[in-house]
Amino acid sequence: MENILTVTQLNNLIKAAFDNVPALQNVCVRGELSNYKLYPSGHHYFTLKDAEGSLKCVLFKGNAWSLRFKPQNGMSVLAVGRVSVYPRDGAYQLYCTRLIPDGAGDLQMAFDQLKERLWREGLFDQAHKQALPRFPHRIGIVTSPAGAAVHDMLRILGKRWPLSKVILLPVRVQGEEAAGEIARAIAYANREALCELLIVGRGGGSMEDLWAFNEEPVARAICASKIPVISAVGHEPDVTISDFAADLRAATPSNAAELAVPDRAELRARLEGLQRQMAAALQRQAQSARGRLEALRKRPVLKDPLRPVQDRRQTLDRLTERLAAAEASVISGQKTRLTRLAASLDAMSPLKVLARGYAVVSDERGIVTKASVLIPGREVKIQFQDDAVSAVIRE
Amino acid sequence: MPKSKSKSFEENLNRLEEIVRQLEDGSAPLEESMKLFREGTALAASCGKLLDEAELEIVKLTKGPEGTIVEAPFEHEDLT
Repeated sequence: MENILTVTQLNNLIKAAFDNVPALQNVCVRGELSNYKLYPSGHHYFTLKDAEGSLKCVLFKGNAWSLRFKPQNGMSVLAVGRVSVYPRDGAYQLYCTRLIPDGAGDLQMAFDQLKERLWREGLFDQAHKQALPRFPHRIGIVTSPAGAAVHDMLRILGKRWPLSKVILLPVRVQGEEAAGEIARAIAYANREALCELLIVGRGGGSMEDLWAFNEEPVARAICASKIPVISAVGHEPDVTISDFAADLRAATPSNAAELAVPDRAELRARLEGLQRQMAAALQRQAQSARGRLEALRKRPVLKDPLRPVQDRRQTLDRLTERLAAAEASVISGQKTRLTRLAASLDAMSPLKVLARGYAVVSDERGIVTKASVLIPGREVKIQFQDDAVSAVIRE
Repeated sequence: MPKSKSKSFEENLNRLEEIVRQLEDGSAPLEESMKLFREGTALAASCGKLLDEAELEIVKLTKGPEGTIVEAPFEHEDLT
């Protein structure tokens, strides 16, 4: 023995061998469910059995979103997934990605596989969904020009919103050529910017009849469309890949026509509503203007417009009065002063002194106020009240 | 291509909605508001007329000569 392995090494070797077999990477197994157990972790564990053998399986929480039914022991199911080894137990098992009830048929399987693939690719993401125009001016309809579906759609469009133009893009809606024709029509409408809205669909039928709308080229054309797409395939319960890919799924072609356009009856009501709103708003404004006018009318300036003038007039009169009074008092003050000055002037007059018996002596040098300056023998003048006389100084 | 009825309707309706907003805002002088009101009334009337008188126009795309795609009238019985 030259090469001794540990258990883990061997299990890993076996795991690698399993993982290298392409046929084991995507298998679909039919079997009967047993030992089914859902763990609190959200993982599903079960065994698939048939008459001779059994197979351990696990459906992890991350894949359980696709589970549309409640698994029960004894149920016949199809399990899709890959086979690999769980090294801890040294056991191989099926790692399920899908678990579906048996008997759904090949088409259902193909449907599920494509749906899952496109879903994983993100083709159905809500983020890709485009809003429908409020008023589509031109509506492209990709459908068969014959049959009830187109008739229903045109009737409803004509009733609800006859302002649009409808452009039919006639295609086959079943058979081998259908998917290609539908996809090309959608691409053509986009290339030519033919319309603001596309309705893609057909009337009811079997799953085989509707199959074109479950094909990948149609789904991809719808996803790639820059023109918003309403999918309108079959009857209410029919769900197609196109429905997932479209911006909006309609239950039926008639429903698509209803979703595509506004209802003119509703718009008539809306117009009336707007007119009422408009009238009410204008009336409110007129009323508030009238109210303002009333309030202004009550203001004193408008009630007695001459009042401010009169008030000012009165002030002016008062001021004039005060000015006159002030003037008078100044003048009388000055007069009194003048009288007083005249009186004192009079008191100081030399004539008044002479009247009291004094006389003024003067010589050629002027008035003599001292006896010592007199020179004997010289003549002086003596002024009396009434007249002057000459005198000679004797000694 | 003449302006489609649907487009005229949409433009008129948008303008009408704008007028209602302005009137409800009440900031325009009364005289201007009355002008807006008159314009809005005319728009509502023309919208109503479009709704009443329109008939759905339907064409079908078909292969013309030399493989080009052309519009053709689509004959369909009993659309009412």
